[in-house]
Amino acid sequence: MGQVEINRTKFDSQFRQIVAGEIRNAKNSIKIVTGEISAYDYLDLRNPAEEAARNGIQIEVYASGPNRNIINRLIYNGINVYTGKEVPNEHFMVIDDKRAIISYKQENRVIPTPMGDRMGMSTDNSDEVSRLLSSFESLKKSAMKETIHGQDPLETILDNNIRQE
Amino acid sequence: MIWIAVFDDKHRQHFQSSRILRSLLNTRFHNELYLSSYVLSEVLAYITYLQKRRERNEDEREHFFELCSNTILDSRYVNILYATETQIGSAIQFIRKYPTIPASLSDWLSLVLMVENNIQAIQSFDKDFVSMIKIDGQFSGIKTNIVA
Repeated sequence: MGQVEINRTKFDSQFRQIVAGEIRNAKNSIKIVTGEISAYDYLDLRNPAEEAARNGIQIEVYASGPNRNIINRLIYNGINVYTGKEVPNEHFMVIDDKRAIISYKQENRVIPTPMGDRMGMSTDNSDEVSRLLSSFESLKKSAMKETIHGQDPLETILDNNIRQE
Repeated sequence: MIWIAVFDDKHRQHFQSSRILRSLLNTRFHNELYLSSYVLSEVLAYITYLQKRRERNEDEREHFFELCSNTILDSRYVNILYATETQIGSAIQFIRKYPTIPASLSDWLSLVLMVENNIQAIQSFDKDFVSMIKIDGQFSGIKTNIVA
């Protein structure tokens, strides 16, 4: 495969289909570096990730600014989350330490899409994958491993409703 | 629908539905809640319908959607199930097979998804689920908890 740029399509559907396919095809591990984990709002990515974790795939996520509810949900579903102050220049996902999908910023993007101004690339180039794995380990080293805390938003809303009765 | 009543504070079953869902989260056996994407669509269609009829204003719609998003989408206890073409095909067959039961595609699909995902209990305000489960042996393992 080498290094292949992922075609830009409306709604970024092709990018998400490729990412979801890679998650489903993972045999052992998935390592992700991201910012706010906004991709987790996409159910077509969230569902395969949670299913993979349930099936024993070790998933680790480094994120620089995720929402507490997302952190809690990830951990609840067996996904390890590390948070740190360092904002990664590139977002990526390494599958089985062999393949990777990189999401990088491109200036002057013509088509605005839900994924923002990012472009995607998939690679199985071993040097590139090693570089990404080193980057992941480096970010993880300076990060904090998260645990679930705080009330679930559903519980909060239900409790508020009941209090008002 | 229980979800709708939870999010709509003017709904006559608002408090009742909140208590029901809260009680489901309080036990270690029932801390996973499932709904189909069709049910999610119905929940969102409800507020749109009321806004079109001017029974709810923009702020109320926004508030409803915010609650829906913060809970159904963000809660760690809630899972959305997606139907395949095959499952939709099965649900349509049930509508055709049992015309006397006033159940929607979404209702039949919920039962099909429950069977295929090994989900054992349904919580609803809709008593037609009892008839649906009784009329076809394929749903015999499903327990109903219907609050009229």
